[in-house]
Amino acid sequence: MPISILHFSDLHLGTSFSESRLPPEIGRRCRESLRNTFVEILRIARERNADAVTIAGDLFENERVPPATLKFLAEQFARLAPKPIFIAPGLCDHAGPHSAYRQRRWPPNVHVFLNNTLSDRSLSSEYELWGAARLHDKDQENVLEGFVVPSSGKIPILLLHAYVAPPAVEETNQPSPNRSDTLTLDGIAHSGFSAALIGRQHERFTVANSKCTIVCSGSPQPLGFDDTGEYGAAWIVLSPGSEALVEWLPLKSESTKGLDFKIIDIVVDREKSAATLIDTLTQALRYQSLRDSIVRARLTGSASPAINIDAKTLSAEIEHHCAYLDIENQTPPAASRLETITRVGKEPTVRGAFVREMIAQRSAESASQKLHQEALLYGIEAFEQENIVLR
Amino acid sequence: MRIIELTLHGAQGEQRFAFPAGLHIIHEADEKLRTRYLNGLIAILYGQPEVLSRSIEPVRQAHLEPSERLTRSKRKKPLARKNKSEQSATNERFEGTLLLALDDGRKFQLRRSVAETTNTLQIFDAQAGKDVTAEHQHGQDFAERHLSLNRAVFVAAARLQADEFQLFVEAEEEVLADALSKVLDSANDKTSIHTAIQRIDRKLAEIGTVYSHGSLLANACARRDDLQQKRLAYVAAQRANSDDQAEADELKAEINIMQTRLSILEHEAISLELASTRARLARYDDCRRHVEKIVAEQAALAEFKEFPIGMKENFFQLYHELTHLEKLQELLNDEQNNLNLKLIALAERTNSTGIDASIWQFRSFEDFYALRTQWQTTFEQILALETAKHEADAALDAAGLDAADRTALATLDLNRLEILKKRETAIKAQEREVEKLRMAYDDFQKRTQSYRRAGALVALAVLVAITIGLFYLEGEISRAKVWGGVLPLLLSIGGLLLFLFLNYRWLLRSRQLASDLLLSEKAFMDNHEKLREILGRFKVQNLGELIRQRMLFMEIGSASQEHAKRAEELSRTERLLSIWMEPLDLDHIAMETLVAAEKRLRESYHLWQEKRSARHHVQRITEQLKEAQENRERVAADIEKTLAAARISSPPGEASFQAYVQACHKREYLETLQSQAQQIEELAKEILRGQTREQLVEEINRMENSVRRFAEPRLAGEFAETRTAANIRERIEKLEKELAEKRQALAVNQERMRLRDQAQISVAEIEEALAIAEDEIARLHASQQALQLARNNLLTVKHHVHHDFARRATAVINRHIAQITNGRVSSARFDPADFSLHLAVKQDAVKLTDAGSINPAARRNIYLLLRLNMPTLMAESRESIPLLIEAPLRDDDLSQNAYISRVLESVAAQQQVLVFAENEKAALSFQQKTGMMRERKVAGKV
Repeated sequence: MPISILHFSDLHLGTSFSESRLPPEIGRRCRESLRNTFVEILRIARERNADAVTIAGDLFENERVPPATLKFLAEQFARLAPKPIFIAPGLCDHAGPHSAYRQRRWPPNVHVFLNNTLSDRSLSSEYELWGAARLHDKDQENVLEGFVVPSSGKIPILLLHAYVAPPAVEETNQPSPNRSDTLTLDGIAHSGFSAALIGRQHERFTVANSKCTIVCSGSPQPLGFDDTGEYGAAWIVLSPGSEALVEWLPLKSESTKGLDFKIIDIVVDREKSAATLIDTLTQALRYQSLRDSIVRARLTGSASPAINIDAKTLSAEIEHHCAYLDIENQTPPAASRLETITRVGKEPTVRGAFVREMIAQRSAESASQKLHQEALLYGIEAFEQENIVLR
Repeated sequence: MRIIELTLHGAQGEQRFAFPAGLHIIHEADEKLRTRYLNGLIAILYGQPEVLSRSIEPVRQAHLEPSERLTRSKRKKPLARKNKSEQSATNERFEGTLLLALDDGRKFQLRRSVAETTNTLQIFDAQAGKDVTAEHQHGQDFAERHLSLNRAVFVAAARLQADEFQLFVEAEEEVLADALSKVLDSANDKTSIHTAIQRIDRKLAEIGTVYSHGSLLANACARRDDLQQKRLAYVAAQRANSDDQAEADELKAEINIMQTRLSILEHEAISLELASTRARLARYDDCRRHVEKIVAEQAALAEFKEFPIGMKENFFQLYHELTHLEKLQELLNDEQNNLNLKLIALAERTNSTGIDASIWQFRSFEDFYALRTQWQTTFEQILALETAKHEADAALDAAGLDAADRTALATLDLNRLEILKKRETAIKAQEREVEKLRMAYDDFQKRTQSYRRAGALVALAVLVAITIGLFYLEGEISRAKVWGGVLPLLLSIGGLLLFLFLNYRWLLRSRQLASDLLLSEKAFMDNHEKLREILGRFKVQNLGELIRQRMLFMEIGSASQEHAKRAEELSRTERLLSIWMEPLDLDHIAMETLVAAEKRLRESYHLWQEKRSARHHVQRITEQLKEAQENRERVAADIEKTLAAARISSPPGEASFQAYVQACHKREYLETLQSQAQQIEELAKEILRGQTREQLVEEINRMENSVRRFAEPRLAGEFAETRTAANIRERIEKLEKELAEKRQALAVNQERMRLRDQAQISVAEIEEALAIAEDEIARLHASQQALQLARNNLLTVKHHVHHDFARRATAVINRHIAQITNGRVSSARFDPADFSLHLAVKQDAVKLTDAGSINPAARRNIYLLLRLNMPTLMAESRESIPLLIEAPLRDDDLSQNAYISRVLESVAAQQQVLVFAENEKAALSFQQKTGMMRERKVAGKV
């Protein structure tokens, strides 16, 4: 009899968006969206009457999860009862001695694998679920090494937080050199599992052969500008004797708004003034309908000397066209001033001598080029304007 | 370089200007046109004004420093004009041609054409007549290549605006040095290296350090530290919450266990209550069965229901009394018999004493005993009196007193004895007086005897001395004789006379004492003789002895009288005793007979008393027997009545008594049964506790259901010791109390966690803010390093550039200094540190400002000279650069004119100087003011 499983992982409830350099108020909105995503996932599980929900780790982050979130999780899990929920703790929510998985009481329908050795739970009369936990945040033990599922008459399914070589790497059948815990399709199949529900990588993918299917659900939502691609949860239908059916469920809804990270590239070569640059940026945001997105605008090319690119000023001008705008100015720092520098460098003045000296030093010390370039600009500004603007 | 000709093409047509070498004044009625010439020159050389220049300008205007405000008002107008003209030049189409000659003799024609989108420069070699534009980089670097000055430096150095020229006429050395510095440092007249360094320092100070209060870096670090503290606090709070959560879980587990225990205890309690209720029901049923049994027994004993059980006590009392009376009668009879036997024995003993016992009916043994004692006492007194009389008589006989003497003693009464006592006392006093006088006389004689002897010897000596003196005084009495003879003689005579007088006195006294002694002795002897006569009559020595004899005599008399009285008394007693003695056959009365009589009488009296007592006892027993018999008959009658009431026909006796007792027992048993039945009924009521049996059964059923509801198996041995309900109840109460405490602790714990959660923001938000703060700190550190690097390099290049410039400037000044100062200053040196001048005045090197002999205007002209040479000094190609001076003088300070003229002439000898006057009048005025009397060629329209 087929069973249906709603599988997801790496939700990272309560995570910090400091790597994306988001301010706290935006980060708060993102975290709220993550909570809403979690609620949405469980709503779908109820709506589709899933036989089980599996979570392959990193549901939350031990270091950051407040008790209120744990309480929220317990309440949401309890609402799904009696549907079973299986959790294989990952690196961020590892099942160490002080883990919330050990310290809190979870609803009876929640089954957490608390050991770092594989153990089994019954899924149905025909399927059993094997899982293991990560016990600390650097746990890279390959739990499948030398493991073969004992014969019990049931079809074994693996639930684990581990790195799985993505399809591109899988084809070469070479594990990633720096990951001792990398699982391969053959390795999982060799251990006797017919399917593996995996979490850890934020990108989703499936790998399958005639013996086994690996479903790496990825993050239900992107967690930063580095997370590109598509996100959601996996709806898996397992039938004895047939290949697993995987359906990717998008989790876009009104309640999960605010977790759309976008990067737009703007070439500023043609922009003649700051106003035209603002217009270009605004049009790009409107054209891509990024009003509810967190946007990083990468400015590339050589800016006209007439444009003084100030990220804060630009963000302030355009931020109402998106949820949050982060300007990443990748134009050469002194490009806008190159002409001035060239011109000044020819002067028989102290200023000109300074420019020549700085250029000479910059070329001599490539390691500190950026520092010298900044010093050069500050020196010129010291002559040109009363107030030196810090970059 | 020298500008030869300028041609401007425009809407107004072609305008051509020719410029000779040296000083040249240009004037134009229209100020715009004059500016057009100037801008046209620069535009042909360097192209249109740059956009960047325009964009920077407003910033500069907004941030003028205080030192720069000195010239602000003066510059305002020309700057405005300049901007306006440059703006118009930008907007308008421009085309012009410039013919110029370099110092090496080459001539070039530059043709500049500027449209909205095009800016072209054509360069022609004027001598060869060929286009050399291709030799230059699109014609853009002609001026920079040949003049080695870019547009900014050219404008700053070669173009002197009106107020700048005026500045060198009016200002002090420091201002002028600053003006020179600004041109040299930044090719403009606004920013010197010093200002730039100050701006960097200000910014560095604004960034500050971690420890500088209020700085950007300190604020950022403080914000970061604060966030880190918050993060640490969050982690600590999380740990505390984690601990609290663990504690809460433990508490919950304990509460669950306690609730389970409580449930078990309640189960136990209900079970016990059920068992108790069941036992109550069983006991109630037992009671009912017992009552039924009692009722059956009561029916069997119904005949004893009317038994007079109330007479039971009376019956037993009567029966007891009857028994007692019977025993009493037996005892009394026995005692009566014994007494009768005793009386017989006493009668026999009485007869054996030989005394008629009847006497004791009228007499008493005590009477005899009293008489016998009285007789014995009187007899002993008589014997004692006789002994005393005999002894006194013997004493008197021993004293020798005969009958006459005893008669005399009888006459000696107490009065006479008293008189004799007084006489004896007086004699003793006289004797002591005589003795005293005798002693006084003897003492006087003894005392005066030595005096008399000494006086006799002295008198004899005096007489001898007198005699010798008389012989000595014969003849002439000299003074010496008077002192040695007469005076002793006179003293001797005086002494002799004194002796004689004393001897006479002693004699008189002796005689008096002797007379007194004799009188006293005589009186004493008289009285003493009389007393001795009286004592001698009684043959005693003294009066005490007389008194003793008299007392003995008196004692004999009194003993005789007492003896007589006692003898009479004894006789009377013997008469009374004879009454007792005669029946005993004792014929005389003496001590021996009295003792024997006493013994016999005492025994007889004792027997008589004992017999009398026994008789009295027998009489009393007889009375008691009679009374006992009467009582027995009465009790027997009462018992018969009682037995009759109890329907017992047997006569009073053991059988009837036993029958009565059995009846009583049955009757009492019947009562006991009734009481038992009543008690059992009450017990049953108590067991039911106000309920009915049916209710009890219903309650048991309900409790059985409750017990069945406790699904949990009872923990084996958990409460093995708590089998009683009280124990269980106590345990339940204790457990409930502990449970309440645990719940309270849990509530406190959860409230603490809730408050802790409420008090802090999310750690993710802290980390996000922390990342931003750390970025800010890194940015500030990078900026700080860059600013510091810029500052260090600026100082380094400033040192090099300023020193190089000072060296060349010193050379230029020295070429002209003698001319400018009329030979007063031989040489000068330009100080690179502060752009001050050190002048050598008559071999003394002093600063210009310290050289009082130097005219201040001359000092300013030296700076003006330096300023006018700035373009050439700054041009690395050493090409002479034409000077473009705008409206140089606008005031009437004519005192400066000669010097300025001299400076301009000096400069114009080396390079072309073009003065752009505001108009013709200004040009003439300038000529007059500077004393330039030479005719100047004025440019005009072509």
